[in-house]
Amino acid sequence: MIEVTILKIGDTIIVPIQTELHDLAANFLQENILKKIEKVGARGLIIDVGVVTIIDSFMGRVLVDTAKMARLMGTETVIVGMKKEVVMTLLQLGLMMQTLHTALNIEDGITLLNRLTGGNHERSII
Amino acid sequence: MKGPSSKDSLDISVANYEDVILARQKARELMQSMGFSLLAQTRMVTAVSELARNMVVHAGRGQMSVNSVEKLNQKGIECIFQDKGPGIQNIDQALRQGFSTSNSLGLGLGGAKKLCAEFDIQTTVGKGTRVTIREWKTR
Amino acid sequence: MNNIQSNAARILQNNKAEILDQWHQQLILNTKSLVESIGLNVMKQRTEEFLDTLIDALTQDDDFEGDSYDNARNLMTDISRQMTLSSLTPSEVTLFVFSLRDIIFPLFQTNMDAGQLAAHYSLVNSLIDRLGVFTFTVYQESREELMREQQQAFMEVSVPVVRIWDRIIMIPLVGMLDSSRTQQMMETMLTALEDYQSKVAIMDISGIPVVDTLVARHLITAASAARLMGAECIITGIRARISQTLVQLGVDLSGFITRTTLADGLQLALKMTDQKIG
Repeated sequence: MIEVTILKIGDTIIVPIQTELHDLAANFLQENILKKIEKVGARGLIIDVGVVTIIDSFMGRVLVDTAKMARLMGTETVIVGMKKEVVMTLLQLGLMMQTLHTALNIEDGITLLNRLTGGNHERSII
Repeated sequence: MKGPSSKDSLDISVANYEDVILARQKARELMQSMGFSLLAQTRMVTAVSELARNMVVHAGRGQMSVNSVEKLNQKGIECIFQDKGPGIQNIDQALRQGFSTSNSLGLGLGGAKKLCAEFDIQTTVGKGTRVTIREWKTR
Repeated sequence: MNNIQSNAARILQNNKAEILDQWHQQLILNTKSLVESIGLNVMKQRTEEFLDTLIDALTQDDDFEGDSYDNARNLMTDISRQMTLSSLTPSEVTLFVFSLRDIIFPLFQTNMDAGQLAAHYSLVNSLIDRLGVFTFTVYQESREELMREQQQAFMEVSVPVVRIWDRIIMIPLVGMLDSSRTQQMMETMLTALEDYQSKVAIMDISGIPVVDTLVARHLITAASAARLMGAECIITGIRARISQTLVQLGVDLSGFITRTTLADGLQLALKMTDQKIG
């Protein structure tokens, strides 16, 4: 199975997806992320998709679901670095993914997470 | 002047999720070599991903062929997905179904149609399904 | 056949200087803008090259689709493209090749018996016809290409993206917003967001005369795109009448930030990025 690194920095888990994941690998990653949250009790999760060239309906749903599951466990998720071609393709597919928090890069993602986990759950980019 | 013709052609057998990744890579490689824009590549490869997965999920396995095609002055890529699965009872419904409406897998048919310049589906219940998609350069 | 081709090639070779001379006169007379655009010397060089490749091909005893005509075809492709760029008319383009016929035929008459003439005529006739058709096809293709490029350039110009402040970009939308322009606009906007790592995109719709459900859907798509990239989108220019129309049409923009004036939008954007003017 393809291994994806799961990093922990302070209260935050960072997952940089570096390879093309097939469906089972994506499910496996979801499971591992949730297990990690359970183990370390992170408040924030950042999934970096900066080098992901394809997000189809399956991968899109895995991302949305993972964020929902993480939230049930008290962890806010930010997806960072989505490529513009991927964004345009997702929209053309009809996937707006409006429930997701997003940021341009990891740094902005961490700023957003601090905001989100600081008791304020409104969507904000400051 | 050349009529519609195909030059490069490649057949891939798709039987599991790793093959889906391979199918995506092969389609991308051809589009790259033909000079398609990154956006066009992303659209088409996403459609390939949806359709290849459909074969694995619904038919267990299938065959994809990737071809470079030509019509008039346009160059294009064509992908044909052929399986011997159960076929589709109601195509219109299958195409309408969005990914948001259901949790079941294989909802990518309608999505693939939205992403491609040309989309054609032929299906016979009990015999199988054949989906052809094409994308042309300069769109 | 071989005999006729090589004989024709020999006659062309022996009279090269004369042919070129006459051809140049014809070209100066008929395709003035081409001569002006590439210069007389370059043109003389190209016509000579072309005649050489033609003679060369004739001695190979091949038909027009064959490899020996590759050089001739490539050269003609170049020249046709040049003609497109010099805005030559279709008739000027065809004359370029067809004028050769009137020069070559008299040469045949003076250089061979009447009995051989018919076969030579028909050879050169079909060759020049094919060259003419080929030239015209390339001309047509490069014209279409030029038009596509111009259209593309226009599309890009018609959707400018302005970086108005650090980490803030603005897209002033003017005129009709159809789906192809929306795609173009989105691509330009997302590229700018990526390049400048901007946090806020302001879409100003003051210049859009009618906002209907379709236009609203395009706006929502574009705003969602900015959001997926990790930026926030503010839609400004929502005047009273537009706001009325949107609600009456049942369009829900409540998930997005909207303002009446660009000034209000900019002020909000500055606040969102922790910035102040001055």
